[in-house]
Amino acid sequence: MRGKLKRVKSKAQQDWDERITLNYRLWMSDGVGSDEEMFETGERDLNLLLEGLPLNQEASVLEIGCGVGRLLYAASKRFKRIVGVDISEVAISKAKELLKHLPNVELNHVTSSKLGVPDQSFDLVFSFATFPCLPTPEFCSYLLECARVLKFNGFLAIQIYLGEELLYPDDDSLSLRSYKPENLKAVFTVLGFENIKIKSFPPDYPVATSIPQHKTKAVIVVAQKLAPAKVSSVDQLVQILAPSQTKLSSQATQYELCLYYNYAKKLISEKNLSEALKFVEKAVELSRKLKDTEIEVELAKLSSNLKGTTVFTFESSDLKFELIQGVACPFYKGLPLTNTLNPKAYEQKFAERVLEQVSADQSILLVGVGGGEWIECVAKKHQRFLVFEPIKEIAEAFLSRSPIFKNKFVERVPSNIEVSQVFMLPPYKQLNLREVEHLQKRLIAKKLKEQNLSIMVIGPISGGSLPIARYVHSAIKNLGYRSTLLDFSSLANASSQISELPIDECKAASCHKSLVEYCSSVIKIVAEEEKPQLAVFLAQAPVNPQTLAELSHAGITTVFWFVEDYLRFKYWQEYAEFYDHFAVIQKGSAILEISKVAKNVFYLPVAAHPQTHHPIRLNRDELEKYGSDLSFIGYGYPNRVKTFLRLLDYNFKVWGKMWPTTKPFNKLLPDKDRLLEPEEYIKIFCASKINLNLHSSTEKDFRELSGDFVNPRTFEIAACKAFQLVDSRSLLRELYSEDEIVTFDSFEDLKEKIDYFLARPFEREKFALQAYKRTLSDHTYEQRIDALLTEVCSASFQKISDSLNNSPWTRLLKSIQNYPAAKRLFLTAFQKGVPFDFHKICSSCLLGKTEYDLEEWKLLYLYHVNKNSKRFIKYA
Amino acid sequence: MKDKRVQSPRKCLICNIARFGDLLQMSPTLVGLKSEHPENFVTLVTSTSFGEVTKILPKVDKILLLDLDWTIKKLSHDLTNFAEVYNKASDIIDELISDNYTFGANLSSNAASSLLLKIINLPEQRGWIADDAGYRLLNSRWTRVLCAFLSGHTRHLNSFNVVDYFRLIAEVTRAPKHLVIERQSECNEAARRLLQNFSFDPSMPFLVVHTGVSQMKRSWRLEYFAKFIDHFVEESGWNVILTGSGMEKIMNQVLVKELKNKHKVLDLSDKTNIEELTGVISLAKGLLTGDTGPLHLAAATNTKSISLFVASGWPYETGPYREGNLVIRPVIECGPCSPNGVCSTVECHDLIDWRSLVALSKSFFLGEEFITEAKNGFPDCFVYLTAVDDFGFFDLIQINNTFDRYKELRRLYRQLILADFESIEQIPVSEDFCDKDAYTLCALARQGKEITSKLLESLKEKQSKAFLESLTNQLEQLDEKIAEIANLSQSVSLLAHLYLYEKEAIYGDVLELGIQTLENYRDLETRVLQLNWLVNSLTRQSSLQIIS
Repeated sequence: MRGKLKRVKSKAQQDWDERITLNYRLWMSDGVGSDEEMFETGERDLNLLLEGLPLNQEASVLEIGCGVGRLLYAASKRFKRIVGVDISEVAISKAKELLKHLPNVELNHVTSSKLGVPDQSFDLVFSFATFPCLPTPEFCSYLLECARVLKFNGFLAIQIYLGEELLYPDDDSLSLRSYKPENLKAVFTVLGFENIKIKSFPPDYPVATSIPQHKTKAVIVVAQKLAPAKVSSVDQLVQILAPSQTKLSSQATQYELCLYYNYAKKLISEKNLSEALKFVEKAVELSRKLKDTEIEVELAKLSSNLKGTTVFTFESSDLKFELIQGVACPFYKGLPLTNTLNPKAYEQKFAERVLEQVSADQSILLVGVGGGEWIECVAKKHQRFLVFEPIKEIAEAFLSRSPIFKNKFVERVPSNIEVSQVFMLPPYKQLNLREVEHLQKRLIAKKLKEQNLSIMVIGPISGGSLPIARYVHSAIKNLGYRSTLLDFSSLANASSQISELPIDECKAASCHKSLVEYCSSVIKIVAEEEKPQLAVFLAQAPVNPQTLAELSHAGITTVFWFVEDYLRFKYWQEYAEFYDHFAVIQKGSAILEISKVAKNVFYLPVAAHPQTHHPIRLNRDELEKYGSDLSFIGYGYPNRVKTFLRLLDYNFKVWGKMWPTTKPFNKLLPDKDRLLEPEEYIKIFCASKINLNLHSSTEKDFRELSGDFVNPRTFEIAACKAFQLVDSRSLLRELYSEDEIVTFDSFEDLKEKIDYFLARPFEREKFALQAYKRTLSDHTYEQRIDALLTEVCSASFQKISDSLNNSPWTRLLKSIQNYPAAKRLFLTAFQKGVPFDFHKICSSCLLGKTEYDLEEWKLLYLYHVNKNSKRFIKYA
Repeated sequence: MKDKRVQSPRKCLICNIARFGDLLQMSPTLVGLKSEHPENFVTLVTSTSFGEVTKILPKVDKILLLDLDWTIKKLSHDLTNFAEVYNKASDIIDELISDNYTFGANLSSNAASSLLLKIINLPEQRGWIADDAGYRLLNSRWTRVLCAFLSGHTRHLNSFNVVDYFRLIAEVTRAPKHLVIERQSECNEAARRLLQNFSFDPSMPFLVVHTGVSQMKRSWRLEYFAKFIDHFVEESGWNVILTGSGMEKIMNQVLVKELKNKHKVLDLSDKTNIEELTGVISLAKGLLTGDTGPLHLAAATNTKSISLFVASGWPYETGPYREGNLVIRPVIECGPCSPNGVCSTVECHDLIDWRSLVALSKSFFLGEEFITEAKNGFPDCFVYLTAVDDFGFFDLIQINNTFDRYKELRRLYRQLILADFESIEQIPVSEDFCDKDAYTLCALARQGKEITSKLLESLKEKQSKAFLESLTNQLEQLDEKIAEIANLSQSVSLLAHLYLYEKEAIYGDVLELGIQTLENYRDLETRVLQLNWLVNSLTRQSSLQIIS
């Protein structure tokens, strides 16, 4: 009998080692999703076992069949000393891993029912879901041991099945043995246990506790050791416990098959196909043992499906998965989103390439889950990452099998996301993810934008873009870059004088051309001296194509910001091809048309300059002079004249140039026909109850129905926190919402809104405030320049990078990184636009202080050495 | 003379990065510092360009050379390598700081050397230093008076030599009465070896002529040098050695070409290092030159010299610091002119007759009677003999009778300054003003005293800010008037300038500033009154008009 017992134990150990290795949570806790959940079930079951027992923290406790420590975890919180034993070495090893942080838990692998602990050393011995799987002699052997190791008054709490007597072959380590209650009680009595209580499981217990076909159910038996055992022989106990000795045929295989099959189905529903396949194949193996052809065929079909072409399809029919080499490969609208020949290897390699390019402190964005392999590979070696999967179902599928990544997923990619690099699984490029592209551009551009860029700004001689050139210059400086503004406005008189000369048009054009030649040569000379990385030309900047080509050839990236209507002003056609980048204030057909001639065309609306355009308080006189119910500032285009003639009844002031000075229009003109200075029109904006903002049109009587771009006035009025009514423009709502700016579509609509808002000052204020906030947050020239630089730096990265590397300022600033005072001095000079001359740099940025630190004194010393150079060299 | 005895040894930093000649003129100061206390440690900071000269300077324990040429080139043409320049400068400055000097004197007037001293922040600093904002500060009375002489049109009233200025700025009272060099015998040996290479026998008498054409207008006309040399060698039988740097080389070649007696002339331009040059001058019987570095080498090696101070040269200032040398200065209204000004005519060169110079040189260098020639041969020049006065200061004794209308006033100022700064004598005061400017200046000084006293009282009484501001404004207006006198007056310009420099040097809190200002006005008043007395006493003695 003893020899036979030894062989059975080895098989039992083997069986359990295999099972635990396959999926410990499946066997220990019916396949819950996480260890946390598993330990929760352990706590639940421990509570059932120990309910009502008078045990305190000091009690020493032993669990027989502890497995991976499912109940031990909870027990460790209640008792100072716990010992767990199990015949499965794999289980004990896993338990040690899971409970390594619990110093009060001792784990022992036992190869027999001999527990290897001293007599009467425990206050409590418990066991759950272990004894029913043991052959009766084994069970009795353990009971004898329990009686030995328990202290007097100690408790035994076990879970077993009672009802009919159900016995199974000794090599069956899974089938559930059941005993008659009276037999069990008898065994307990001879072993010295009294106060035997048998408890049923609560009706809501989540696991089935009865074996219906056999009238037997799971119970908790608790007894107290109050007397010495009267029997010491296992055989005697077996005789008492299971007198019939009739064994049923083993159910282990069926039970396992059933378990695996059900589990596989659960995994399939969670789209964890590779895992599901594992269990299906295990079930297939078992079904072969059973020689159940029907089940075998069904399982084989399921296996084939999992390995096969279509596993499941979503309702949209845009997305499907194929299991290739155990990787669930997604296909979106027929496009594979990972490599379909060898997805695992492909994604692993991609992950390696990603990891090569990042350092531990960098935060990165991984775009596109694909098969998920690369995400998991990256996650193993790099902590700081986020994942963006544009297709929701793919994200869900991945997260269902790898829920630990839940916090890593982002639903969208905002432009201000804080990451250093973006890595996109290559097949996802086909999806043209705009937001990701924009982020990539931003990150590429950032490398250059963080450096000391030098930018030249060239404005027109006169016209609407002249102030914009100045705003651009100011914005560039505010962003910390070096800006050189070439302001040719002093030539305005010369330019207008040409028109007044008594010469024909041809000759006048020739004179204008000479003016442009002059300006072009100035641009070239300054560019040669300054060596900027970029040159930004505003609309109507006086430059000839040859100069543009020369600048570009010299390594300067040229940008044209065309802030006019491309249909009305066509001169761009002559110059567009000579610029490296072309920014426009319109979209759609404008970009398409211009792109036929120009390179790198992009949308860039105008903005406001908060240092110029801001709310001001006006005194009484100013309010009287500039204030009115309605106002308009600008040129007297025909559509405006016609419209305003219909508003004569209002307290309406019209300012600017080219307005009719005859009756009745002259009634609207408080001042003569002239251009206003910015300070004045800001006063008008702030003093007016309603600022009319009617975009100009040379063709329509009222407004351009297809008007798209938004004029500078819109932003400027908003920045002054003044209220305006703007004619509808197709691009307006991208810039301002309906809560921020009020638009009108027709004259009647305009009139209605004028009357409405004149009567509602608080509403006007509310809109003005909203528009003001929006303008400051999104529509300043700093933001536009930032966007321009993102576009330009990402597209012309190499050219700008080369220019930077060749720039003497860059080389200088790099070399003095470790000298704070020198760095401050040169950076200040750089940003102030001081020429690259030591004497001028110091004169501008060092002299005149009342105190210097040591480093600054050294700089001052060098300044004077340089200043006295003639003297020193002469006397040498 | 005040005798400043130093009780404990000092670690001294002397800075002089101006000129080759300045370094030699500093030699008595260096010797003086060492004689103050044998354990004095002396470090000299100068430019690499003059590194050679430092080899023969006496009593220097450590030399730090600033490669200013390299620094300037880098800053002007290669600013991208600024870090390299900065590191080099920083290393030197850090070394100077860590050396823990206790005393420093900057003897060069440029801002760079002033800042150097400021950065090192020595407990005692003299000469040209800088304040906390980096502006120049003249931290010594002698520095201020030198600047006062140089800044206005009163240079011709300065009778103190740079050597004396240097030693007084450095507060050295006991110093040799001549320039000093070291290793003279080594230099002589080196010269002999060099001359041997040219088969020139140094035992034969020879004259060294250093044309100094690198200074252009300060160098006598080359044709005159040529004529002088030709006739001198003929008449004396001596040889002549031409010396000069690379800059003189080409011009000297032109000069030699013009000579009839080339065979008697050895051109060593750009062929000598400092030791060889020193040796050559030392072995020579005499040196003829202008206001040049070799003039000071001659003074150091006790070689007789005749120096020609034309154009902007001022012999009192930079004359050879040793007794018994001859100095010739043309009489011309425009002299001494500004060193930076350009002159197309240089008429002053023509006033020195080369024939007379030949005659004078022959007698002087041969050790014969030369006074007659000196007296008679140069009617359009002042001829001086160098000397040391009773107080140990360099002086020039005029040998000939050419009238010098500033001579007396110069003497009076010398007397005044020595009395004031070195307490040599007590000069009485007089309310008998020597001229209108003196009267005005004194009145302004008295007004200044009055307003300043009021200011000090107001500070004590905590008067209103507006009241204090009005007093300050009055003082400013007053000082503007003093500045006008400084720019325009002939007689008292120096005193006005001196006051303005002293005003620059005041420091401290408001009260301390007020007290120092009061003292400055008092000093100004006293000096004017003392000048009055001096002028009047001289006028009483003779009928000479002091002030024209």
